[in-house]
Amino acid sequence: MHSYFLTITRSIRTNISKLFSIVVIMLLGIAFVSGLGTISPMIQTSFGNELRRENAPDLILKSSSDTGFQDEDGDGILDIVDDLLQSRIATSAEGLTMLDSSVFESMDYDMGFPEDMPLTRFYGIPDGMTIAPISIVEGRMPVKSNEVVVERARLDMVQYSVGDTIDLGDVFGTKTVVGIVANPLNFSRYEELDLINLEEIKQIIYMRSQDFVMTVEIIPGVTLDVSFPTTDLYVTLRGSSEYSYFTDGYNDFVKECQESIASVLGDKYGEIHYLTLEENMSYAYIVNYTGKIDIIALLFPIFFIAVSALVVSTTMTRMVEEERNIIGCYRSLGVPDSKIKLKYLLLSLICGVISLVVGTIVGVYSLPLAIYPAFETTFFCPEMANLMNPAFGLVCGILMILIVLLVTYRVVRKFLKSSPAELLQPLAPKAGKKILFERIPLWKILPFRYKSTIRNLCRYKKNLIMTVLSVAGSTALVFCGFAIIDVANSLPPLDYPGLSDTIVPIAIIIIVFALFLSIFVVYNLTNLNIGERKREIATLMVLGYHNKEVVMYIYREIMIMAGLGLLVGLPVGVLIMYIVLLLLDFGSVASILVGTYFLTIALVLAFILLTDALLLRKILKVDMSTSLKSVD
Amino acid sequence: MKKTMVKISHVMKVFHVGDNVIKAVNDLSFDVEEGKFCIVLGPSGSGKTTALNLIGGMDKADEGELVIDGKNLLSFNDRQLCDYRRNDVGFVFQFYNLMPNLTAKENVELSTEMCRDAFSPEDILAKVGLQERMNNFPAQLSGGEQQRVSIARALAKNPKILLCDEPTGALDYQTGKTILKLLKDMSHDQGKTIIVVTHNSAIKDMADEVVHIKNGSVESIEMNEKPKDIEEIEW
Repeated sequence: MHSYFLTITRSIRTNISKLFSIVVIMLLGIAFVSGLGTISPMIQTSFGNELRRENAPDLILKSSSDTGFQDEDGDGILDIVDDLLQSRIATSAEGLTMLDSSVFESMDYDMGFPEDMPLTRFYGIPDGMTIAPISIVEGRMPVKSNEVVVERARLDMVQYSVGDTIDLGDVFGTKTVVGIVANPLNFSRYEELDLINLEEIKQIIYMRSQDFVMTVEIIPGVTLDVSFPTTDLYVTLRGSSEYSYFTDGYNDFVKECQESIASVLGDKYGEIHYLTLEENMSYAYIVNYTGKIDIIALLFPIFFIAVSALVVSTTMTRMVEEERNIIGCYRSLGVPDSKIKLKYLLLSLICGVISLVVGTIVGVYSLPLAIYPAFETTFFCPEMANLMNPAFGLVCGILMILIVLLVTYRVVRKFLKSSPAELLQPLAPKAGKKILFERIPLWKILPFRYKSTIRNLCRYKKNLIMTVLSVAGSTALVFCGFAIIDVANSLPPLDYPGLSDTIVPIAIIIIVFALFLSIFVVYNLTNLNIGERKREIATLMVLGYHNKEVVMYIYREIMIMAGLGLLVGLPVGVLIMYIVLLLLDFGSVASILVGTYFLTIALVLAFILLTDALLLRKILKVDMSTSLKSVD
Repeated sequence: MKKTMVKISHVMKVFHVGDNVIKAVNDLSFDVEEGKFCIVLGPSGSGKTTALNLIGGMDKADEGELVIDGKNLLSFNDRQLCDYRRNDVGFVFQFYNLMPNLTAKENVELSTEMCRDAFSPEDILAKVGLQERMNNFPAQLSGGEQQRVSIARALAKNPKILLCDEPTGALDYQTGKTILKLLKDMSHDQGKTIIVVTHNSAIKDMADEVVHIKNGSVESIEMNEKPKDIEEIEW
């Protein structure tokens, strides 16, 4: 038993570079998948936590009647709240007044706001609001009738400082800004739209309820203070905290309650519109963005996993093949087959578990940290939630481990079918043979070294296909990364505010991961190639081929395979982009810049060359005498 | 008096394997005259292959003098050693070491295409008796035929010396004999200096010079005034 474990640890040691690249390639894929899968839930949880902290209303009841929620006695809202609480639907309800200046214009009042006043939203807020209360960012709350606070400015909104005065014309007179506030329901950096023309609101002004009064001059010299009806009733629902925001469960729950409320209130208060958080613009942006991110998070990992599984399987196959005499030795000594299988399955499993654990941790922690700041350009971001969603990574990781285990099992089983005597003999080098190419007249004038290269490419077809597919996969992913940036930049900013800002860092992460993947893929396959061909390398060295010529003998093949990979990868990338854009429902592949194609080729080539440069030494270090003397 | 092609004096080669220091070649000295057939004899691990590698420029000696055709290999840098292998040395190995993806002719071309005074690959293959099999790949040739290709490849570049490491080690008795005969005939025809390393002492009578090596240094040197024909030797 002791020597059995010894052979395992020895195998790990002798194959450390191969095992290392297996781990890194799997790790990259798992980190990418788990990280990308975490972004959406993390964002939803971060904003959800904030909504919960601010006690956001689950429903906003909007009255469109002239009297609003206030009857003549002034206690209408209390009645409603009582109704809701008694029917055990709501935990609390608070009324406030909201008016857009466009409403005044549409109402045709004689005296209006100043001509040049931008589109304005007014809120009259009661004292001591507890549902989604506005909070002071700067300055203080209003305490006098001529004082107001304004909401923090978003993209194109009017900027105010504490102490500024606002001329609100004949309607409200002149007010002094005593504070800048944040409204927890408006956390997107894009302007809200007004209720009449759906144009962007340029300033939001809050007053105390009791000051939300319009002074009307009935006849010259006689004025009358007219107060506005309570238009909005913020309601928090009993039991809503059991659901997470942004989930179907929450949405369904709110809809159910909405129907109960409608049945309780009946037609008592005129026409009522029920607004859920889904109708809140900021909330809807988050839903939209995270939905798109989820599509990307689901789609790209498929390609990542495919490329990683491909390369890892090749490497594992190669490793088992190299240990064929060890397997032969085990068998001739009578080690049971199950134990031999176990050794290689164990090796695969160790690699897989290391990749799974490290990859998940790295991805789940690093990617959200990299992406979250990008949301700051689109949203007033709350503190990032400390959320991990390793589910994606775990599922993909386990899938990859299963694929690798299956491949390993099949390779080992193949060897276990041959007799120990066969296994103890060296593997005959793959025979060379005439290839189709040689029938082409061009073959005759082809320089000698190219003949050898082309024949080798055809000789190791599996190697060729694996390398071309892997490089193509990485190329396609790099291309998609750049293409997403192109498409995001080409989107009309009005229709897709902020979406591009959010998607660009994700695209960059795709590019970075794909480039890393390409490095390890090429490193790994070149490494295998060199290992496989040590004898040929040594022969060339003995014949007096110079270093450059020997290196080129190997690299010429790699470069041709890489070139083919690039050629295959670009159209595949375009195809992936086409599918992605179809699912994301924006942009078109036509907006991908021509430069992107060249940039992809240049970058992937540069990384391949860099990787090959790292392996130069390994080729030149091949020891002539031992490689030629041994039978391998 | 013929000129000395290979002059080895007090050559040292040490290998470090882990903490162990192995003196593979220890104060080795012998000369080979131009056009002579020299056999280096010794048991496994005696350092004969290391000595051959040093003569062939595949490895560099640590100390001593190793002069081939007037040039001291110890003063060569890697690039010079590479050029030396390219132009002046032909190698024949126990395991042929042909490029499996090249035909017999192409394997010979592999070495001639970069040499100064190379022979035509077709001619040399015809000389080793392979004119009919020039377009076959190594896997389609027998062991003896593969070794012929490798001899053709070594000779085609018209080297100054031909170095053979157990050239019959992987061949059956009769084929081995033919290969040895071929080597000897070729060297005589073209006046090449040949050094063959082997542990088969039976064939020593066919050589002009026999160097016995033990523990990395020369035990004794025999000179055969009248080397035997390979047909007369049995083992």
